[in-house]
Amino acid sequence: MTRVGTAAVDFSLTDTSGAVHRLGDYSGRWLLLVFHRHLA
Amino acid sequence: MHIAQLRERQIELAALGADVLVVTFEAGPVACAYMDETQLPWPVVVDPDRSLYHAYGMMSARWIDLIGPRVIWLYLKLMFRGGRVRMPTGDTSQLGGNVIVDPQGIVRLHHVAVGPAGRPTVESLLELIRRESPSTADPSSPR
Repeated sequence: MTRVGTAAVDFSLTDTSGAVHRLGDYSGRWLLLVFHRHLA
Repeated sequence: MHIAQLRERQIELAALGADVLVVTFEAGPVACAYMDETQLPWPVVVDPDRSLYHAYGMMSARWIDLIGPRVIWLYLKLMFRGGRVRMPTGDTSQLGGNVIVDPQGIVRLHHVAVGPAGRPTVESLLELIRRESPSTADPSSPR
């Protein structure tokens, strides 16, 4: 089911350097989320 | 391959005011090794319980999506171009995808990639942002 046109799912995720990224951090900007399949 | 193509367009993405977050479910050393190897200009965030994946409908792939003709063709093209094909050691069944969120927090693109060959083109991602950005949209076009 597509989520186009709905509010983005909120998240709070930590990056590889330990910084936390929240959806709200990107308010006012375009955000492209690229979901990887597997890295290794 | 998709990430490499995105990286080639990173200046255009930045010019459009677009940030990129790469999401993985593989934590710790695997994610750090990936960052070291790729030197990506964007953060790689870890979703260890895959809750964000699942919220966007990215579940497990069917076997035909993983080893079907489109996937074999994709890897053959990569090899012909001199790319390196590695045997995966991670969970290969997890689906990936792309989501574009606009400056108001609304999802403008939601694409679940069915297997490795199912990504949208980078040009189509850029075009969507260009089309919907007031500063770059054609003022004569109705919105």
